[in-house]
Amino acid sequence: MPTEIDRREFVRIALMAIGALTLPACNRPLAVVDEPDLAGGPDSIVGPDAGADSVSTTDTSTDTTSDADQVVSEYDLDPALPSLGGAPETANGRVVAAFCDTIIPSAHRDPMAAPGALEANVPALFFDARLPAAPLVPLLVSLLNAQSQTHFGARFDAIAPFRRIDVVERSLALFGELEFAIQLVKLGYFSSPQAATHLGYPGSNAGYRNDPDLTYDKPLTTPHPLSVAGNIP
Amino acid sequence: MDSYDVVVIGSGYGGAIPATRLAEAGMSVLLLERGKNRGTGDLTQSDAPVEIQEVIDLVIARNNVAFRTGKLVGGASINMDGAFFRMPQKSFEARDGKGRRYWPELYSRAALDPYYEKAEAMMKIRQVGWDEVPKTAGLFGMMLDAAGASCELSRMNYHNCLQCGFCSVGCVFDRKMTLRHTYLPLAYAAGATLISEATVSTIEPSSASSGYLVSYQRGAASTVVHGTRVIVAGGGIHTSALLLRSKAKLPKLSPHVGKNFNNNGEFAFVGLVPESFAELSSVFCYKGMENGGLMSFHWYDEEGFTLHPGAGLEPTVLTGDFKSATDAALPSRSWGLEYKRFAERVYPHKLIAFSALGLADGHAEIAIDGAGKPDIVTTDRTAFDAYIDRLEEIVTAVGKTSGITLFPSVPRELSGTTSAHLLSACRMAESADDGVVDPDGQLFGYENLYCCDASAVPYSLAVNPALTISAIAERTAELIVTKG
Repeated sequence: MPTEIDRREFVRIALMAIGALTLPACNRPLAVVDEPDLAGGPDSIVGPDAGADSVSTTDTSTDTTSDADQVVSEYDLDPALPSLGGAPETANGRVVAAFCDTIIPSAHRDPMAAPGALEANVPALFFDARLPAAPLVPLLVSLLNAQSQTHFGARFDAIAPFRRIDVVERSLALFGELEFAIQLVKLGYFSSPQAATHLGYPGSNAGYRNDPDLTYDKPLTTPHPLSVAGNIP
Repeated sequence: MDSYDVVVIGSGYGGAIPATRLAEAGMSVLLLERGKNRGTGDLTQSDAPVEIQEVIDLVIARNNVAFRTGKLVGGASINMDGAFFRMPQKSFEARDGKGRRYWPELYSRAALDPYYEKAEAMMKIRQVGWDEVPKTAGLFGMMLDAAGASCELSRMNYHNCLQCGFCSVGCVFDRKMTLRHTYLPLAYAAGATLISEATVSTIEPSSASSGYLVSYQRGAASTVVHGTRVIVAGGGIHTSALLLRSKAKLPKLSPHVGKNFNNNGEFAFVGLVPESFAELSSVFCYKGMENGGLMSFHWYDEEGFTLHPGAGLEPTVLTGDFKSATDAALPSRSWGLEYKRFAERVYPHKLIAFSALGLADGHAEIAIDGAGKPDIVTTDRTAFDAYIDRLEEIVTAVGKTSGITLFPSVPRELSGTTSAHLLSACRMAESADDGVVDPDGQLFGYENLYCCDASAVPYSLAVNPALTISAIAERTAELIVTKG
């Protein structure tokens, strides 16, 4: 796997990989979603339809996960998302929302019902023209869908949430660059008012100015023997 | 067409300082800045990505992002963490694999000291006191002390800091002595003209007279101005991108433009502090100035790196790559439901963050895409990864002496160009064979075309670069005034 490929090459290799890997698994060609506003959801996919039933029947020998090792709750089986977290109602929007929900699970599939990426509207960040992620959405979607189709026979947003974890891990193993998208989800979530409230962070301008308990107010270290007022020669 | 003695492109340290000095010397100066001219009252305390993007430039690259270049009038001085150190002599002596010094021979600590002094006086840089060091940085100090390592109080440009913890989106309380508070008012007073939100597209030699034509876009309007002298100070990424866009019109430009991109060996860690640490419940990782006010040179002589605390905007410290395949107390991956539970357990009392800066090779170069926008291409990471391996080995051992478990703040795949220190892509050198800019800041092959920003710094410094960039800018301005 090359460590450096350009975007076009990324797509080309991804498409080749999809073709090579998926045909034996699904026995029919795939349509890869790489247009931001491609209409339609599961109906527009060439390949097995989604849903819990199809998940259980489309596993292939290439699937390395062990169901026996996993505790799968009802929340982990239902692919439906309670919202798209501000992402557009498009095929890409649904995949990005499912991805964000995988990285920071949302309240609907958190036993503690704590807010997650969807409640914090993190998916919207991927489509915000002011941020640099938008150009990478088609690549992210292609990558996730390719792995999802290959191993579970359906688009990423149509497979069960516990399968999505597996797909993200497989995608990461193939393309470390996916870390960028994971970081954006975490950054978007942990900087959100929803996460701040949940974690007990009061946010900006909320009482930590001139805090009397700010500092130990005593020397805690010894200086470098050559230092002069903080500089060394 | 308007004509100026000097057109300066970019209003960060490498642009605002010469603009000020040249205006003070009586030259007509036009200062072009692609960012907005935001005053203190326009800044927002928020760590939301959309708000950060208003202040800090996020440059998307082929497989990475580079961030924290300045994006407003005042450049990086607005969003930087306020730490200013003179570069130790050892960093001036850094050499490449062939034994050649990266820095031109005339550069040394002693040679730059007069310019360091000027910049320090202008920006009111001082050493902070222990009463200004937040507890989260205090934990860092205790960790070093337990390991027998020395640590200094930092030199900073904060005065009467309120310790609100929102330094890198711009201080809303006017406690950070940015270029907007120091040099730029003097530049305007001396007659310099600022045009903000002006993106320079190209530079080309003037065919009608000496000097250069600078084309810029502001809104829908395209404008060309003439500068007898032009100073390119677009910062660590955009200076290279501008020169690469201009290459057809500046054919003698060095082939090194965009090469040797270096992140100052910056690599950030987050530490998980054990319950046994004193007064842990009163340590909130997001309280206080982001830099933390400490700096350790303990490993500098032998290993070539420094360490300083720095929480960054909080609670985004939780974006760290916390995970372990073997430790049941840690999540197996740094995302997912298990990670969400982990974050709830450790935040806000049990986290510290700090960064290393080191003498390390770069591993990327700047290119432009078809639209002329900057892109960052990873090159050979071998040397950088070896540096990180060694760094992690040492720092992890330091953490262990205090029971602190350390993690990289970002996965290794994202390290190296995600940095606040973006250097060397138009590096200064003795000759055009090795660099883009001569020792006096002039581009090889082009009289009166200068670059004295972060791009021109020849190699990593192992300390925060702002003061050294400022000193070089002061020196370059002095040379231009002397040359007349």
